[in-house]
Amino acid sequence: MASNGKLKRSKGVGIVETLFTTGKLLFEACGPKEIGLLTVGLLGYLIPAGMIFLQKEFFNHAEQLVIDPSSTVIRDIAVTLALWSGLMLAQWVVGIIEGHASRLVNIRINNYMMNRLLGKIGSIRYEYMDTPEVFNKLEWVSRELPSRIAQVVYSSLGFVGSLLAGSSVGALGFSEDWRIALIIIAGGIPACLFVHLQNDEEYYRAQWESPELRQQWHVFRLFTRRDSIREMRVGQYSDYLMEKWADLSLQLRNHRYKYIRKYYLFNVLSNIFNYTSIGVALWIVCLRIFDPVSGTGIGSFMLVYGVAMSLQGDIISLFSDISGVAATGKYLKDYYDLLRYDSEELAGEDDPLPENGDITFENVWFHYPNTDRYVLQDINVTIKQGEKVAIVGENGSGKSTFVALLCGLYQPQRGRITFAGKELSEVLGLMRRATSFVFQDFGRYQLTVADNIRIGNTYRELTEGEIITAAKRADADGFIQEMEQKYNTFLGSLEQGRTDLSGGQWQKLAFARCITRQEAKVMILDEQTAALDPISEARFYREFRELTGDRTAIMISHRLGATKLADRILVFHEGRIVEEGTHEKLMSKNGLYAQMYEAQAQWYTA
Amino acid sequence: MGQVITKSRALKLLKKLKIFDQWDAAKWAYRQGWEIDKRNFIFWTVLNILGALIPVYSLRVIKEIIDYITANIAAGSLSDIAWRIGALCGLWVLQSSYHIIPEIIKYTMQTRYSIAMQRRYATFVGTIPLCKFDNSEFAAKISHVGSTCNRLAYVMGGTASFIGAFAGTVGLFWLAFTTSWLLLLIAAVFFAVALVLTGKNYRQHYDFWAVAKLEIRKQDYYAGLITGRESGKEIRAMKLNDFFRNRWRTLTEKLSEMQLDLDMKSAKVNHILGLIHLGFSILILGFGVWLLRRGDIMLGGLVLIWQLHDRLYSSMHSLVRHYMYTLSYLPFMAEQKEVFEMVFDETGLPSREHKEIIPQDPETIFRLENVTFGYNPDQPVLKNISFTVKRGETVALVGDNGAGKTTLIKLLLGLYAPNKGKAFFEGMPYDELTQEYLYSKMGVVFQDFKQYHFTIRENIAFGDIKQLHNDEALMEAARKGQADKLILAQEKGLDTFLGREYEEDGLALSGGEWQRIGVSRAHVSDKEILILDEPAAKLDPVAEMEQFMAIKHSLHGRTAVLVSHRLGFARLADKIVVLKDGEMVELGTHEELMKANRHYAEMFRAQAEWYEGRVTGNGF
Repeated sequence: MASNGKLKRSKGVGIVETLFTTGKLLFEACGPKEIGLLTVGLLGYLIPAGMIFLQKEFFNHAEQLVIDPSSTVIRDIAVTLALWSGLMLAQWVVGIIEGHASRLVNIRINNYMMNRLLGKIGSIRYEYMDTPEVFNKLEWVSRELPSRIAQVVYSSLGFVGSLLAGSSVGALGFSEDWRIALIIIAGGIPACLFVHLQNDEEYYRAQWESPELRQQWHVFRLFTRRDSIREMRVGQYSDYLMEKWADLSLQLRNHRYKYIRKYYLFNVLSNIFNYTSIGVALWIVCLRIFDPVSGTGIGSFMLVYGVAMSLQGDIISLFSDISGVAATGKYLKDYYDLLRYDSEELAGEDDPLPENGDITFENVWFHYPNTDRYVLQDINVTIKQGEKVAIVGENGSGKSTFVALLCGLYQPQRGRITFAGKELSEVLGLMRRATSFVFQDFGRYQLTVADNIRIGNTYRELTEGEIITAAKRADADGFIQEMEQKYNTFLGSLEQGRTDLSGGQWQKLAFARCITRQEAKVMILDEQTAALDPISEARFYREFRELTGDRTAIMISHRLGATKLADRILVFHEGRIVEEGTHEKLMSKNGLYAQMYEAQAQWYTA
Repeated sequence: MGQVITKSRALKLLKKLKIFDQWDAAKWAYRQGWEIDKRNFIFWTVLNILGALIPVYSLRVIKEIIDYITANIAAGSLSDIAWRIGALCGLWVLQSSYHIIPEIIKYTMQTRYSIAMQRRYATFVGTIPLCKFDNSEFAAKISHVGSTCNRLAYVMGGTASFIGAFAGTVGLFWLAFTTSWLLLLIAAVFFAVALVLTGKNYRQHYDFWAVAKLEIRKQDYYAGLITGRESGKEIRAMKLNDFFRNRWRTLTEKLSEMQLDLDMKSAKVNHILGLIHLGFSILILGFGVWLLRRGDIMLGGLVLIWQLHDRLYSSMHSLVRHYMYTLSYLPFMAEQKEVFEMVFDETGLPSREHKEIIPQDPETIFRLENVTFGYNPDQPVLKNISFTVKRGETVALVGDNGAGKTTLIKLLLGLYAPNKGKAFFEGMPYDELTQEYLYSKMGVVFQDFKQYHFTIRENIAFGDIKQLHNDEALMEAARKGQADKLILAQEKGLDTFLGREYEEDGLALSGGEWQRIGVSRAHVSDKEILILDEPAAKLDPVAEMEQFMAIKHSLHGRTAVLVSHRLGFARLADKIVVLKDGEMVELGTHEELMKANRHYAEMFRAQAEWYEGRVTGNGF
């Protein structure tokens, strides 16, 4: 059941490129205030070098004090201490600024990026949403965004900071004794390599574990939700699922353990290198101190000690930050990849609505993006403004696909679709504005009742009166009035408490959405009555003509009795329209439609 | 008596300082952790303690090195220094290796405790009577505990780290004690201030999250609508993208403000502490110089004082940090404790034992006598229902949406116990039965049956898990459920993975195809009793007919209860139970009920009129 880990290992993305992208994001998302604060904060990284220098002076003077406790020496100590305190204070102030600035920048960039992502994703072509590659990437990118952006922001800032600190401290070290500085730097290199390797691994691991982690989590979640708990109890298979979960957990755990063991080993080894080199450096400075000619005081020992600690830390941070940046580089690439998918072109959205919203399909052939099998074959049909058309056919015959193409959610590989005389792709925005929908799997949004209806028409502001009218016409006002907060009742569980509606009640709300589009020219109803009880369903059919008015109505339905309401019935079978006509005509033909009709009717007639 | 007073007084004091007001939750958590794995916890804690004590030694070594240098600068003998420097480096290596330990603890402990707690949770869930879940708050709580039950790991890990940091701090305090009284004083003052400030800050964090939790869920919801697949069609067709994005944006702006505000408040604590530390640093350096001048200490001593002061600061910092970290998870522990300690009243429900059951009245499968039931006993969903189902009968349950059909099914299944009245299975009350006995006799498909993203094999075998590897039995069930053609059309047959979330080549099924799989699940092992809730709602007319015919033919003398709002099908039944607003209003065969010309007849005609040529709509 687990995927066989055939994951393509992503190539690295250039550090420089990533830093550049981060810088660009910084300027796009933040104002001059944030950037100014940030700069001040970063300058604070130059302070440690100054402090280490002053420490050297301080301890040299202190050494002097033991030999010569005169007031000049004391004065020197006092001055040095005062300067040192001044720097400490400055560091404190700058530290506050930097902390605040980096948090601010993090939030701004986070929000900016998420906002962009949401804006883009909602508008990309629907066919992309159906490919696992895209929706997995999307789920991963949006889920990881906060932590990854934090990582890249803090790593980038840390990188610049470590660079500043490291160079200034390194310069100090060099000015003291170049051999020592070199040795210290050399000692830090294995640690850096290791850190870099580790972060590469971490990214790979996060990616590899992603589907595994999700699957394990998915199995466990079955134990937290009432619908699966109910089934497990009746089916008595909780033990089986527990075992399944345990297996997955074990797999994940073993993978993690392997990673940890390697990590620990590398870490210890690089530490040994590190501190050995520092030890050598200290030894060298001791040699100099003990050499009466050199005039080196104990302060130099403190300086070397201070430089060693600081520099080693800076080098490791530097490379850790570089790796942090690199790891995020791959994430950023994925993010920008998502932004590059083609958006739908909603042309004509602001044009005046056409008088005649005729729809034609001319020699249309279509298959879904990831298969070769044509789901629609040679579809030719014209639907005139005002016609009431019913679409029937067994599951998989192409009905829903036909409607999806009609909405412009996919484009046919062959043939063309027109609306009001123009190519659909050239007037997509107009067509969408001119059409109202009820999909079979319409959304049950966790909003107020009023908002759930209001979203039927996002092209203009709806008045409260319009919403209530739409609800009345959809036969929803009745049950809404019985709710405590009526139209302001929050559906779902995002607010305190929880309100659920039955399937039939939701169906009526969905239809109310459709009705709010008074100006629509076309109405598309997909299994509109599937969840309604027989009486409500009958009412809908009776009022069908009145509800649809002079709009074109396209109805997909399994309930063949209702197709009699239509001016024309299209019968789909294996991707083609095999029969067409009124109910009477099709019955007399005694073909597929007649057969399907009989299959249902037989239960109701004698 | 005196002891009790002092203990509760102490607790009250701690509570007032807002340091520790979730002692019960902590106790419970530690008990769990201890039961699960005491060995590892002790091991890591001891390691933590040892590691935390290293700085105490490395500071001493530095002091000695410096003293040695200053003392022997004239003498010029270096050899003794070499091994001291070597020792120092060795200690440093140990110390930094010690820093990795928290990482490792995180991984090993996390997995161990998480897995154990999740397992406990799953077992616990098996004991909860199903009707409890109809209370949405309860269901949400259970779900939340499930999602967060692995956090015990953080509490245990945080505690291990805390103990280590505490030992380290004590060691440094001892070193300060032997070095200089002022140092000790400063450290103590600092510690007290740190504790108070951080305690206050913790409260603010907690309050923030209590409020923000709901807002964040909403924020995630709106984002999820756009990035998820389910709403993709509607978002494009109905231009909903901006609507949801604006909602998300408003919430995000508000939350960001709140978050920054909170961060500033937290940071303030650190700033104050930092400033205090700074002041004390200057003080202690001056003091050290004074001691040096007096000859009380040597230069090494000065270095020690300075370094020790810094070390104490960072050690206390990390101590407080670990403390707060652990504390922040206690609310979750409190919630879990509350849930895990729940005891449920299981009267009227079959037990989870394994025992031998002998049916009292094998010919009467179901008998309900004046059964009334409601999730909320004040608002009954079913009122005064009485009927029987004999062995071999086919009963149809019909009625409007919300009339109570599905609830009645759950009562028959022993998932709920009636509030009033009695329910019997094979002549016995349900609580004399076992789950094992009852469910081994029933094949069930729910209206909203669960679609598992596993293999087809598993999806079907969940009807009787013992048949998981019995291909023949599974295909037989599939044949009865009209899913066999679908399976044979797949290359991997029964082992085809369904759903594309975890497998790139998983198969995406349509609603109708899923429904066939669901019905096949009910057919596995030809259980004596078949319960089908809307088995064909998603199928097209021809398939629907075939499904109903297949069900009819598969019955051969078995007992069946069928729910469908497609009334034509009810004609297959020996008996029709008609529900309206929770009451049983009619009972009889199709002919009898049509003759009676009441609610059933009205519903039937409402559906039938569309097939009979005479239509009362406009335009014909």
